[in-house]
Amino acid sequence: MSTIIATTLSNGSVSVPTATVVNGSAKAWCKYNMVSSTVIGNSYNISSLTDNGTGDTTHNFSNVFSSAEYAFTACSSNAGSTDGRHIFNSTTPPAATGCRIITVNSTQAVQDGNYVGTTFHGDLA
Amino acid sequence: MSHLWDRLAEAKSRLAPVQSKYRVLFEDPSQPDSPAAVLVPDPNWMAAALAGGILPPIETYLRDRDVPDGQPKEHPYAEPIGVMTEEQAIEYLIQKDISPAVWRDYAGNRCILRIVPVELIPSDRSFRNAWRVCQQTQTEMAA
Repeated sequence: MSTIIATTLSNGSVSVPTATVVNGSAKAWCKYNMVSSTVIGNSYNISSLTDNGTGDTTHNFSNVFSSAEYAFTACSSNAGSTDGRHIFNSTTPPAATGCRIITVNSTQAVQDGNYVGTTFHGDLA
Repeated sequence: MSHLWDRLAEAKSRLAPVQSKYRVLFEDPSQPDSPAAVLVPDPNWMAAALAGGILPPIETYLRDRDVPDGQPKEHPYAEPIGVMTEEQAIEYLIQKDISPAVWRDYAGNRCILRIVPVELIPSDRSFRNAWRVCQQTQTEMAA
């Protein structure tokens, strides 16, 4: 593998510091389905998912974060229904090694999501 | 040595994902009322494990468990290990992503961890929160 060392990226008219690109990139992301079983469609920097129960999934990172002080966003949809899914951090706080999240329906009951997407931003170990 | 995150990026660009034929079913002895959990290996991670030269030794993750947040961790910079079989990769993943309270410290009589073919995981999740690890060795369903 080769390495290009540069402090700035430019297309000739627009420039951006490489630190902005590296620090601003999602450090992990995952798209998965929970309906009939947990199936990972695609991902980056995820070693596994733990299906803890209905609508309850832990993301385990390959390269862990430096601390639990990272941000994440997530979205989820439902199959064949207008009843959308909302996604929250579970009562288990995030850890540098992984993040447990739950999906709930409009009545706040945990329910499996059909198309769940998550991204994690922060500083890696 | 390149950073693990960089090696994962390079691996993802050249390796086809591998959907594992195994799942790990386990119960957490510290949460006896919780249903059995199912560990699902990531296809890109599995591809990296089978290819070799990307993932760090499992011992580095185990040592990093004791490193406080914010302190330098060993595993991102460790020398990568070689090719693993899928079975070895699953054992690696158990040690990495499941609490030692399940795979190392549990001293009870109940079977709380099983590596099973994916088809033994029930596809009907109607009673998902009632799943327990099946205690029979010959079974059509693991939970």
